[in-house]
Amino acid sequence: MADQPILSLDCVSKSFGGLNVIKNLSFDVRCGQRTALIGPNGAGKSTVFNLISGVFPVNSGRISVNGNDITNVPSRKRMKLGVSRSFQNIRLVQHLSVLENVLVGQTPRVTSLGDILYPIRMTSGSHWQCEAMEVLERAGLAAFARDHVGNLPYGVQKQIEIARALLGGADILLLDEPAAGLNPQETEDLSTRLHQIADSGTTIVVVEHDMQFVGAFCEYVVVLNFGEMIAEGTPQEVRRDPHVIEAYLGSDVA
Amino acid sequence: MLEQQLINGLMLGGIYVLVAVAFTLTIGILNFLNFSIPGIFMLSGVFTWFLLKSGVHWALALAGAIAIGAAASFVVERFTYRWMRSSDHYVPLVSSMGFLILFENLVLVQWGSDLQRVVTPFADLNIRPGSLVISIPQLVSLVLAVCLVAGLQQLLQRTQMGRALRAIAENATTAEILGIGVVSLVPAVFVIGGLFAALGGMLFALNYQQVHPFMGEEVALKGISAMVIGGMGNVWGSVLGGLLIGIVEVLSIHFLNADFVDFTVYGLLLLILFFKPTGLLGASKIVREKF
Amino acid sequence: MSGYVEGILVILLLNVIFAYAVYWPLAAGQLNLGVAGFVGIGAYVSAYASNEFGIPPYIACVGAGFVAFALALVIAVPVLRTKGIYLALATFAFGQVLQSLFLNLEIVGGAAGYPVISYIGVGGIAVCTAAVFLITAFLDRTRFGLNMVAVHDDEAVSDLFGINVRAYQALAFALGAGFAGFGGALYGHHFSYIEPQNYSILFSISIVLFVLLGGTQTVVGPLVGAAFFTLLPEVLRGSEEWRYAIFAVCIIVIMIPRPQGLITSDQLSALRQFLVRDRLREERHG
Ligand SMILES: Nc1ncnc2c1ncn2[C@@H]1O[C@H](COP(=O)(O)OP(=O)(O)OP(=O)(O)O)[C@@H](O)[C@H]1O
Ligand SMILES: [Mg+2]
Repeated sequence: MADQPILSLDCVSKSFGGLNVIKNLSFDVRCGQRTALIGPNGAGKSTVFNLISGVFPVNSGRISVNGNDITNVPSRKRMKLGVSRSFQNIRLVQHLSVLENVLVGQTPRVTSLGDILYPIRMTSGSHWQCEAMEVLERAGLAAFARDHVGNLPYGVQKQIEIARALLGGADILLLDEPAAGLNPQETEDLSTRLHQIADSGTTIVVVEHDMQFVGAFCEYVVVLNFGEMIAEGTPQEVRRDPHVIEAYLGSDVA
Repeated sequence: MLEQQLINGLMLGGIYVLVAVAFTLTIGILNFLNFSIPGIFMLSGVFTWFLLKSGVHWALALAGAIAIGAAASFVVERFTYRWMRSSDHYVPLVSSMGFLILFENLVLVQWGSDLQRVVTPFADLNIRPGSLVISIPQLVSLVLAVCLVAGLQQLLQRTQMGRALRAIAENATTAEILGIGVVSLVPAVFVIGGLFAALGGMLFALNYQQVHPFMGEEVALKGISAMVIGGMGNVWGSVLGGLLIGIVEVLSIHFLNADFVDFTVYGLLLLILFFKPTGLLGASKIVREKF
Repeated sequence: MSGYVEGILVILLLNVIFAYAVYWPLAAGQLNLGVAGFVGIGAYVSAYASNEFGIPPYIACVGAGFVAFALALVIAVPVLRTKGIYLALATFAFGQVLQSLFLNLEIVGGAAGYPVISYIGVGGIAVCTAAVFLITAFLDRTRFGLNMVAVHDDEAVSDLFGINVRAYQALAFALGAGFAGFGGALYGHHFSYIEPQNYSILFSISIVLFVLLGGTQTVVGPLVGAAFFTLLPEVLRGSEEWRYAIFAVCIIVIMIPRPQGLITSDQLSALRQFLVRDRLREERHG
């Protein structure tokens, strides 16, 4: 079971107005395996996340999650099928408090009309709120619960995004540059937090430029350049790969 | 008689063209639906009447009426757009509506709500080809409207200022960073828009020989429709839309009755918005998705 | 209660209902400039129902609200294909079309207007207004309200988190229209006469004006806006002919420092925190 890929891309291609951004990309993410998607700026990493979460349709190829083909599933329903994500540029709801933002993250699991019409912003005892507070506490964010997100520091907002993504109940968490803009201490905290999350059974895929972070946190790395996969393997293997060195340092070095 | 109706429609459309251009300028460049435009239209119309009545020479009276409209538009900019650039798109709408109410009520306080008859020196100048009657002032207005729009187009395309304005339309923040004097150019947009609206009001007063404090509203709503039907932010679209609405309006009266005018005109607007929101000539690229 | 005070109170109460008719679409980012048309639908449908079929006035009014709601759901399909200013203009055009329909519908009197036989007094209207306010305030506190804010702020992210953005937008539009129709029905039953001229774009504009003036970030904003808009001209009654000019100046001057309206959510949460802190202090001392 552990060898069964939880997320799999099969010959996926995407172009924007004639520009081929993703070309025939195939890779698998195994269940529970902490995976990184790396590559130079503009390689197409965020685009891959956008294709998996359904922001754009693919031009060709197949994406499946937990063995279900989600290629043609509308973006709105994909979180229910198991993929949740954060964003490279923070996309929190500015007019809501921290707690309320996190509550929005639960939406994929809210199905009954009773839950939709329960005055959740007026009371504080519901299991939804307890669950959200618990996640905020574990992330060390409980003190900010009632604050408007707009006024909080960048690092805190990034953490809220992760907490929100987590509450959708998805098996796979796609994190787009979670460590970008964090100071070393914050990065360390993030790493601890992500380990916790991974240990509780969620498969984490990160896009990250911080190689130290990738080396320390990830078990498996997929390297993209110009929309194509140029290498995959453990961080050690990938670091030695001549294609990767060339992509990052230019062809003279290789 | 249908031919006569068509001519009347074109003449009326000429007024709509001017108002539509005034709207399209602030929308296209500043992303701002400026509801003070009907007020400016009315101010200029009422002042045309008042100055002519006071015995001022007609040339002075007309220039004065237009100057007052442009000045009013300048004042509007001071108190609306300037303060709300970064808010939601509908926020400046409120203050511009405030100005509409203000202008209308100032005129109301001063001259009352009655319909005033404009005594113009050109009332009886007509040409009569065959059995048709074409009023010379109306013909002059129409030609003037089209020429001014052509001039405006040139201004936007060819001059330094036009290039700067298009940069602002693309992205005001970027334009500012690039060193374009947004703060000084925005009033210029308002003044130019004000000139068009004021000219419309003045010509309306001369051609239809009546003014009152609320005369701007109906014309402005038709002007907005003309702008959309032609293509928002597209100056030639305003010309096409304005003339088209003028014709549709008189034809509705001719074939149906006066109560059906709104039905056909706004029904047409609705259809355009549903099926071709960019308008007949296509909205210029300066109207962004951002709205 | 003197007739004068009662008259003002009725207008105030109805304006509050109309305010929430505009508030809901704005909460989803839609400027509905055709709200007067929905008010008219409610007025005519309820009047016709109670005149012709003898339906009890309150049932007629609520029913008319549902008719407006349903009509809005249908028209939302093409209207919501447009966005922003295009949407505002589409609603404007729709409102104009409705008004000219009223004008040409001889079965309800056409341009001459249409009398309404049964009557609803100020007390009944007060109860209805309270209901509209409470429904709005309640919905705002639920996930429905929460998701609406999310849809307003970021459609793409809301969609990814499983919110049916289109459905929320359509519901906001229709809920507003429903309130508009309900308010219009009450109006007709109170003033006993309705005519097409009432349902003009100027009516829509003035509602939008006071709602934006009050602020749309909180449910209290529209209430404040409606009160301001109804009462200020009365306060200024002393300077009879100048009052609307003064009123307009007030609007312009207020919007400069407060472009988001008189009441904003930051303000309210600051107030809430202030109250909570006070309570904590009392607890500590007590
Ligand atoms: N919506 C879009 N429309 C057009 N082009 C796009 C779009 N999204 C991405 N691109 C293009 O696709 C390419 C890959 O972009 P992408 O954001 O996926 O890169 P990335 O690997 O995430 O880079 P970075 O490390 O800078 O975040 C870029 O050339 C970008 O300009
Ligand atoms: Mg990226």
